[in-house]
Amino acid sequence: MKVNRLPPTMEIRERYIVFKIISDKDYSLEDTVKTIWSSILQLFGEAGSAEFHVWIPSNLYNENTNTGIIRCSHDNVQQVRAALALIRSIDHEHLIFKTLGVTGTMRSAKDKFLTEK
Amino acid sequence: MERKFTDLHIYSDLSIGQNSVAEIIKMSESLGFSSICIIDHVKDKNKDNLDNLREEIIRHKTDLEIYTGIEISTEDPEIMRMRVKRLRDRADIIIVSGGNPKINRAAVENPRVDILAHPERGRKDSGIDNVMAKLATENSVAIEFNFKFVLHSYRKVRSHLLSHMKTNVMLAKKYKTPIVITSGAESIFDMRAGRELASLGSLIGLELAESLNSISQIPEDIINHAKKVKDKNYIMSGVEVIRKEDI
Repeated sequence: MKVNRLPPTMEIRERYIVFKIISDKDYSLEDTVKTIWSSILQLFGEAGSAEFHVWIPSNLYNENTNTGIIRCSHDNVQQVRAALALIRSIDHEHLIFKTLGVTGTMRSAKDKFLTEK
Repeated sequence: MERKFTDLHIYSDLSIGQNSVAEIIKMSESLGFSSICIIDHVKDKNKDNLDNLREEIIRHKTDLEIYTGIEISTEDPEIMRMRVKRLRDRADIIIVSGGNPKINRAAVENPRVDILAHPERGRKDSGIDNVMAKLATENSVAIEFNFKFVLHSYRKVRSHLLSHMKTNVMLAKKYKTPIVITSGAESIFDMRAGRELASLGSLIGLELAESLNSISQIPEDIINHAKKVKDKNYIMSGVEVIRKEDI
């Protein structure tokens, strides 16, 4: 049996944060996702982060340019950003997570930030 | 109109930092800042390094507006007052390194001071009380929230730090004290883009507009105010010498 989509008034309003890792090295999807999640969980805990509806689409992470997208609920963009900003390193290599922008749909995130012009 | 972001608290390797001025400028440009302030740190009776810092900054061509500032770190309020008086004309902004309640109090009582940095550092309370917050507003001393200490701490320590910061935000909101969020970066990897710094505000109870102001509008006001105070025609808030020839 298929589960219905939520009625439009009850749908979760989402935002897409486009991020870029500033570093000399390239990082794999696995390392990046693990680091982002551990930072979110450390800062807000399991119950706190449950409200954020965080999802990191794996097909949109580019390992060559270190850019990717995080989906979260529209109320919690600042919190997710804070968790990103508080990441210091992956494997003892210092780096900076920079957000390129926040969009309302995945398509505009792709068009604006992830396609090369 | 796009917001212009300012980071008021960065150390270079001429002070206690690790990276050169050139590297700081490059990173600030890629993080999208429009102006930064490079700070020289003086402890107790050490000599300052401001002239070297200024020479180094002039040597680099950039669109960034770069200011120089001094951070005064001491345990003695008397030494602090003396240093503030002596360095006021030489530095663009003056930061007093807080933490000691005597220093916190002396800093907010001094209209020549621009910023009281991290008043909660190394303390079991928030470092300022309602009286100090009120004095800070009267003397237009901004209270700084330093991103570096949040970044470099974890678990219990970070939790305590954030709760002290929350108390300070509450006081600052009530008494309308200016708030600035700075990176306090000692290395270029401690620096964060403007909106990332502002997201610290969401952890300590600031509204989005307030935290964005604390890295754009308020630092600009501080720099403009400091320029005005350094003017020799300035006497005190609201009193200025206007010469006949200028009218």
